[in-house]
Formats: sequence, structure tokens, C-alpha cells
Amino acid sequence: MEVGCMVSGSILLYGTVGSTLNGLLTGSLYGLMALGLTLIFRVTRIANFAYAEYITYAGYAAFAATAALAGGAGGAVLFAAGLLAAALVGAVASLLSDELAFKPLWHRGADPLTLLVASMGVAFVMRYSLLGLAVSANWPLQVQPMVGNPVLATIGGLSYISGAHVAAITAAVATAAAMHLLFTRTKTGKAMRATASNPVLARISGIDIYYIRRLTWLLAGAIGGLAGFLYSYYNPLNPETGWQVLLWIFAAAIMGGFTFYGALVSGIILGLAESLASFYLNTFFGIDTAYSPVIALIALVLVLLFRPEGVIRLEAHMLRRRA
Amino acid sequence: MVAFEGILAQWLTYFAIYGIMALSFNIEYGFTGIPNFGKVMFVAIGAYAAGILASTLVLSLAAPALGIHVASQSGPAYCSGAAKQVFSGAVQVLPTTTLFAIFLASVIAAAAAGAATSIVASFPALRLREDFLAITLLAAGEILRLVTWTSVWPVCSFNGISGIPSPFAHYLGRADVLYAALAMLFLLLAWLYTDYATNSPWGRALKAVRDDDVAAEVYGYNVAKVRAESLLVGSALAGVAGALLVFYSGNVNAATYRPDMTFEVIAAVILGGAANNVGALLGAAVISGLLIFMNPSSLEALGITLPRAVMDALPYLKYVIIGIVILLVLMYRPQGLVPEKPLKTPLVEKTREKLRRYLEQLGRQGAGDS
Repeated sequence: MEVGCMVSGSILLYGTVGSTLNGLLTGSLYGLMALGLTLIFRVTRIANFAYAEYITYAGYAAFAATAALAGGAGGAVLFAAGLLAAALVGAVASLLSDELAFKPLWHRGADPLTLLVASMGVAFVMRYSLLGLAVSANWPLQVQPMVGNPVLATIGGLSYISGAHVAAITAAVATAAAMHLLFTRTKTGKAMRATASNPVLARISGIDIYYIRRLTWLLAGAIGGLAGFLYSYYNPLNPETGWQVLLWIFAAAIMGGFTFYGALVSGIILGLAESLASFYLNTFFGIDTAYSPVIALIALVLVLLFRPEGVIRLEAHMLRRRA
Repeated sequence: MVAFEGILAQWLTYFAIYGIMALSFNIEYGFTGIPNFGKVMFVAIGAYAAGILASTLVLSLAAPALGIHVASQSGPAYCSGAAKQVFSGAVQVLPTTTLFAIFLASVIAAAAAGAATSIVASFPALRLREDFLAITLLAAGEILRLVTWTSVWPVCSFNGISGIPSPFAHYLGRADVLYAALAMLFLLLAWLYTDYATNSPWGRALKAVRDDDVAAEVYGYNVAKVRAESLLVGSALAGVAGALLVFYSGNVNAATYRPDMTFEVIAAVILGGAANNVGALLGAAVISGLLIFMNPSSLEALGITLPRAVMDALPYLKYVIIGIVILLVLMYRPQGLVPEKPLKTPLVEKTREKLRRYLEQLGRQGAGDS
């Protein structure tokens, strides 16, 4: 009896530790992905459904780059190559989708809903052309960059901290801080904010709004690409992965009220809630873990219904000492 | 020839189902300005309601006659293995009239379930900006799909309910053509109703709310009520489309109701022209045609052969085409193929008639003078 209690107690303990670590990993990935979406929304006011596809394309690019180099190069080189390829492809995909679809529509004075529908169109074209190509050219339908994910520490033999944990959390925190500083402390960030609030006035004031717009899309795509690489570093990625996480990304971005730190914190909260709630509900009530995605979706719907302006809005003035 | 007839029947059935969905989306999006991007949720609700009612009725009517005892330890009775036997044997014991009655009852139940669920959507529709409303409804649809995919209630999780007998199960040779005709009849009724409703004072209220809800409120329209009514009608129609899909394919499965279906309907309405019922139908005909004809099996049946690589990519290629169509229409013809027409109102017609008579009189006077 006592032994049984101890065993179940330790399972509970290690399960909690493992779910927390997992939640931190997926949560910081959601947060990182949400940063790019937030950047696009803040500068261009587009709720961009095609953003998910930049992540997928980047994951495939990382796979292709590492597969081409595998064998001859060392682990660090492969990691760097995968990351670079992913960021590059993400940025280019993002910029191209703006130049070909969103910018022409914006010139015609499209409203936010039209731009949203257009982004769904872009997402359809990107996702299904990748799927079609993958099927007809016999590409693998699940890819993972050929970089080993080293186990750095093991806890109780059950849960472990891997390279992906460290990389994802570091990247998410660093990117959020960098974006926040860019937006609040630099001239470029100021130009971005000016372009967002009044493009005509920004242009009159001598800001090259087209350069700012291109920079925004490149940066957002690169963030998406980075996230895509880190995601596939840990989980295999398929042509529909982007779409499958898109609503989580939206949930994090909207919960964060489209602020950078807010998006990061919301992403981590969602990731933790997803993994911890599904672990506890499964352990104590026998509820299927397949329901866990529903948690983030319900959070998204509730936030939109009751606090559409966001729950966690960590803006500059809230963080600075003097108000 | 038979193959061609079969594919034509398939297209007409899909056209009818997508046409009803497009009409319903058009009422909400085109006329009232509510972007109901959770359309597939209401279609799924209708399909689930129809599937549950039909399978329960078939079980209770056919199981005693077949001498099969249906019991289940966990989950609904219609999910059990014995129920599958009943479904496959039901055609032998149930006459066409009974099957038809089951079909009609299920369609009515689907419409009622869709309408009842619309209350859920009308809550966010009052509070949110258009693009956020779209995301909310999309997420709600995904919640429904994920839950019903996992839970044995209401539609047997990922197994779904299969083998629901079609009302024309006794006419094995030409069941598909008969069903296509029946579906087209429903489409005709839906179109007549929608056209009548949107050209009535109620239709004008919808447009007033869409164009400027503050102005509409000032003129005495109850904006909340108008929006809720628009969603109610749209969702009831979506439920009917779901029921028609169930009796066509014979099964209900959560995997069918992916958000892609919503995008197909959005593409149909945007292509055809928002706030124009004929346009919505035209768009639905094109999109359902794409869905049916861009299928390896349809092309093979028609005797068209393409390289293997193209054939493999076809099921995905059709969505690439739908995406390109959405983008091109938004860029070069945002009003759609058939643009919105001015309102057909008795007032305008009467005024025009008066004006014509007045001009005729003037002309006669002019002739008399000279």
C-alpha cells in the first residue's frame, strides 16, 4: 500500500516536472511564433493566416539544407545551416506574399476582413502546393532537420532537458526582448509605429514606408522561420504543421494584446496550460489527452469574447520604472 | 456514358449542397456583413443531428424486423457493431416511404439544430470587429471538430456513423441521379426562399445593418435582432446542407468538417459576387465543379489520362486553384462575377411606372400640340 502510494506519488511528481518542461518548450515556441504575427499585425493590421505557411516552408528548408550537408559537416555547422536556411526561406516567403498579394490589395484600399480572406487564399496556395509537390515528387511527408537533439540533463530518468528546450526558450526570450527594444528604442521602430498609425502622415514626414513595410515582412518571416526550425528540431514537421499550430499562434498573439512581451508570456501560459491540464485531467479523471488542443482554442474564444483587447498587455510604460 | 452520367449526378449533388451553403453564407456575409467563418460548424451540427436522428430511427424500426439485438456498453447504441449490421440490412425491411420519411425528419431536425446553434454565434457577432469575429467562429468550428473527433458522443468519435440508408436505396441502378434531382429540388427551394427573403423589407434591413449599423439603429432597426435573425436563417440553411451531405455519402464523420469546407464556400461567394444570390450559385457551381472534376477517379472515369505525378497532386492542386481564384477576384474584380444589384423594391418599380406614364402623357401632349 505504502509502496503503491510512493510510486503513484513519484509518477505524479515526475509527470508534473516533465509536463512543465514540455509546456515551457511548446509554450515558448508558440510565443516565438506569435512574435512574428504580432509584428505583422502591428505594422500592417493584417490578421495573417498565411504566416503559418512561412513556418512550414522554413522547416522544409532546414531539412533540405541539413540533408545536403549531412555527413561532411559537424553538429554545430549543421545547426547553423539549418537555422540560416529556415530564417532565409521564412523571410523570403513572407516578403513575396506581401509583394504579390497583400501590398496590391492594400493599395486598392482593402479592409481588414478582405486582407484576412486574402491571407487565407495565400495560405491555401502555399500549403497545398507544398503538399502537392511533396506527394507527386515523393518527398518525405514528415521532415526533421538532420541535427541531433542532445539530452543535456535527465530528471528522475523520466523527464529530460534537451538542446531544443534551451534553444527554444532562449530564442523566444531573446527575440521578444529584441523586438521590444526595436519598437521602443530605435528610429526604425518609431518609423514602424508611425507607418502603422498613419501611413500618409508617416510618408509626409519623410519615412520610406515601403522600406519599412518590406523590413517588417522580412523580419516577421525570419522569426517565423526561426520558430519553424526550432519546432522541427524537436518535433517532426509535415506540410500541415503550420496550419495545425496557427490558431495557437493567434491565441497567444491575441491574449498578449498584440504586444511582444505579452505574446511571449501568453504563449508560455498556453503551452503550460495545455501540457499540465492534459496531464492532470488524464491522471485524475481519465480524460483523453487528445482533448488538449481544445484548451488553447477555448482560451482563444474566451479571450476574444470577453477581453478582445488582450489579457496580458506588457507595454513599455508598464515595464519602465517611471510611468 | 454511364460513367459520365454518374459524374454529372455527383457534380449536381455537390452543386446543390455547396449552393445551399453559399446562399446561407451570402445571407450572413453578403447581405448582413457577418463574416461567419465558422460555417462548417453549422453544417457539421446539421449533419450530426441528421445522422443521429436517422440512425436512431433506422435502428428502432429495422432492428426488431431483422431480429438483431442492439445494445452497447458504452457510448450511443448506433455506434455498436450490431448497429452496422442493422444499417446494412435495413433496406430489405424498410419500404421507400419509410426511408423517405426518415430523410425528411432528419432534414428538419438538421435545420432546427443549425438554427438553435446560431444563438451561440450571435453572441460574439454583436461584440467583435469583423476580422476577430471571423477568427472566433473559425476557432469555435475547430473546437467542435476536435471534440467530436475524440469523443464517442455524439457521432462515434473518429469512426463516425456509416451506412445510413439513402431515401433511394431501393433504386440501386439510378439512386445517384434521383438523389441529385432531390438535392437540386432543395437548392431550388432554398434559392426561392433566399431571393424572396432578401428582396423583402427584411432584406433591406440586413443591408442597412451591413452598410452602417449606427444609421440603421437611428432609423429604428433593432441591429442585434436583425443580426441574430440573419444568423438564424443562415445556420438553418447550413444545417440542411449538412443533412443532404449525410444522406448522399451515407456517413457522418468529424473528419469531413474541416475548415477547408468553409473556405470553399467563402471562395464560391467571393467569386460569384457577395450580396447576389445568382452570383453565389454561380460560384458554388464553379467550386463544386472543381472539387468533383479535379479528382483522379473522375478523370479516369471520363477517360482522361494525365501523367502520374499530376494525378497524384490533383487533390491538392484544386485547393491551390481555389486560393489563386480568391486572390485574383479580390484584386481584379472585388465585386465578383455577378455584382450586387440595386434593391428590387415595389417603391422603385411603382415610381418608375409613374414616371413612364407621366413621360408618355407628356409625349402625347407634345404630339397634340404640334
